[in-house]
Amino acid sequence: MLIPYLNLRNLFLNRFFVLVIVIFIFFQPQVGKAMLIASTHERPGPGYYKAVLTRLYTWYNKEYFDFDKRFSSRESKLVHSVIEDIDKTSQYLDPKTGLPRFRLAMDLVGDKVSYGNLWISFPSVPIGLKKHVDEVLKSWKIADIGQIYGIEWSFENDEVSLFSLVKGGLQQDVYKNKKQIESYAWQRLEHVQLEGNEIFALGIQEVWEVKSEKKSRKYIGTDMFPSKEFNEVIKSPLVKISKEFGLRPQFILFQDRDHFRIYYQ
Amino acid sequence: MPHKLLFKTIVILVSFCGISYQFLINRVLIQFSQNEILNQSVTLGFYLLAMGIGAAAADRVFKNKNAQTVYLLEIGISILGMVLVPLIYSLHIFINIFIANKTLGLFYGPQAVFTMQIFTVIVGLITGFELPLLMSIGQNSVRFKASNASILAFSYFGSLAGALYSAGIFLPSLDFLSQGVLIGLMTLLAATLVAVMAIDQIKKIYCLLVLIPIALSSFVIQVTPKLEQLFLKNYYMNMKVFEISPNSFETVLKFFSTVDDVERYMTPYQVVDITPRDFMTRSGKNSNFIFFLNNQVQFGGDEYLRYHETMVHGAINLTGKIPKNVLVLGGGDGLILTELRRVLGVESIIQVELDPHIIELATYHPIFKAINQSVYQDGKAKVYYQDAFSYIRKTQEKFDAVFIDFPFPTSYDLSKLYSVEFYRSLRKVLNDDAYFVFDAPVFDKTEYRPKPKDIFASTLRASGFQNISAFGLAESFYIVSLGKKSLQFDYDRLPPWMSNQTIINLAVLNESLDEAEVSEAYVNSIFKPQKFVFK
Repeated sequence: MLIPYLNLRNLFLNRFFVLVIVIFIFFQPQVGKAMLIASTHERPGPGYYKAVLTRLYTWYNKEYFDFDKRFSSRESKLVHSVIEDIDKTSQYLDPKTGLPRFRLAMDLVGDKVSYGNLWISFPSVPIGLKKHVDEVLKSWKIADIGQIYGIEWSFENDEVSLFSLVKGGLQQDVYKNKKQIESYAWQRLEHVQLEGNEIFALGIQEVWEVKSEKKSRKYIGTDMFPSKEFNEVIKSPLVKISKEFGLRPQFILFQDRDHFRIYYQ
Repeated sequence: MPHKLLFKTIVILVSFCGISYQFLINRVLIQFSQNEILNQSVTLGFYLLAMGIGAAAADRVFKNKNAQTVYLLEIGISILGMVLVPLIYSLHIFINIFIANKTLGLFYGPQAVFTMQIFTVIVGLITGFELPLLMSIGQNSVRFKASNASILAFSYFGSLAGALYSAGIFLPSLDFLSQGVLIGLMTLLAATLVAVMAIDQIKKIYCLLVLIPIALSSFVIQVTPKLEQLFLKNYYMNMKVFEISPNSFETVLKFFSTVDDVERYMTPYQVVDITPRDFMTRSGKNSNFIFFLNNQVQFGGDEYLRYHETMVHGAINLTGKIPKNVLVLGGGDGLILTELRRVLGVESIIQVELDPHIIELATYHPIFKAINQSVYQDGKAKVYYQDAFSYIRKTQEKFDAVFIDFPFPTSYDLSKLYSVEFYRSLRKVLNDDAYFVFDAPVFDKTEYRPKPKDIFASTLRASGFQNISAFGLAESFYIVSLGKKSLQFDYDRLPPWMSNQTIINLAVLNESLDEAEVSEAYVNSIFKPQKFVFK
């Protein structure tokens, strides 16, 4: 029997499965090329990313979720200093290999969209930035977790996550009310092939396994646009962002909570 | 009218119509390739070949080379002429819906041009029959006595008149379907003159045949608007996005009847199409409207701000100079003027636009009026209707900035506006420290050399310009400054009202421009035009 989620169209049409979709609109040093023209080697001049990210962040705050209202002044400073740092580092990082560092993410669970997710990362933490990171962690009463890699705010769940680099992948520690409630290990799976055939696999960029002591999930990351029947709830903000900035979501993570069959080779 | 004069009039008329059909096919087929050079060469080549074959075969095909044969032939050509454009459109629609949509996406490019040559060949063949038949009549008839040399001479006169009329009157003022009908009626006139000339040689019943093209012309005129709309919708619409399954022609017709019409305007220089709101084009832009010149997309309802804000405010920010005297070349839509009006400090603007109809459209069409904020009605810009090249060669004025908005050079005519001669003339109208901007692709996927950026960089260098930069990630522009300062955006000084799309677009592209191969061989000149290939 052909499994319904072998292609994206079926994945969306089939109501049997509960889906979690996370759509990241993320910015990175190669934002211009990555989002607009895939094959350029351009490194836009100083000030570009600051101007673009500030515009995007301000607009998103106004349209969907006002992070600035929910952030403490320390958190707000941290976000803006990350933007400044992205702008600085973009001048010397290879635009082809730069990592995503600023993500606005929309979560879709069933028919409910949550907009209040922001993820920032700092693969290197220069002194100026470290000061802001330390101050935020201190205000959260979280002890130094070692080599911090990123922070994610999920306001609608009232959670924050700290990401750190550990052996073999990323570790995500989730905090709620300043207490750690969960710890996940993110591991990118290599040599993965879906059961059936490669219809869906064509759009797959990567598959992640996310494990905690209690549970384990798998995510498919893709840049493939879903079918016409793509959930109208999420389509509307995506169209709006596309009209406003000329941007398309760059990465979509799909999760099937019940049955996700992945074979390893 | 003396018989000999009447006979020569028929020869002129027949040749007039023959060359007009060739021009018409050529112009219609340009829509399928945008490559005027390829199109003209191929169409003319096939037409002459078919004429040659027709002339050679005339002896075998026609046993009776008399006036009745010529009369019937002209009636046939008249009918063919009237249905020529509908047939081309119908074949294109058919192939597009039933074949290309499943494979290629759009029936377009050389394959479309070559396929459609079937019509050139048919018209050429039948036209090729005409001259040998007329020569035979000229030699054998006492009444119409004419030497082959004089028939050929009058044929050439007719061709010249046909070429001039086609280029100067038919093509600019009538839509393609009406042109076909008109030329068909002229061919019918030739047939009628043949009947008048030799009524004794033609069976009476055949005289009634003139009613067929007349009735047909009435029918074609009736269905013309619908067929043209069907063609345009099919041409511009991305049917895959709508997931129409074109299983039957009725399905497609039904679907198209629900879509608003595409507006088409013919001017002496270009064909203007405007797709309606919420029209999903093949480029996937779901804009309020999209404006096309000669089937090439110019801008859409969501993107025009990005293009024009980038060009004007981007250039001013890059150079750090607000120009006092500005020259705008092209840009008849008025949107550059709209942006310039927002810049404090600009004292005078001169615009040079070849096509007055575009400015008329920009002045009175509601869509244009809305987006250019009726800029032509305030009378602040001085507008000259003339060729930009001719203007910059003759003017004594000097400018601080020149904004150039020409179509992409798909023909030799347009190519001269990107030539070394053009840029050298432009240099003479620039003040010290002035700059000029033009839109052109920096990125392209083609492996073909020279790429457009190779040609632009080589041509600008050969014109004596050193400070050449490019900017704009999605809408790219070249900026050439006479100043020596290296150009970088000062993002803190960008106007706060600039659209978000524009901000994202504003990046310098010098790394991509540095990859351009600069070579003397790539210099675009009027005397050695380059082929601009862009994907």
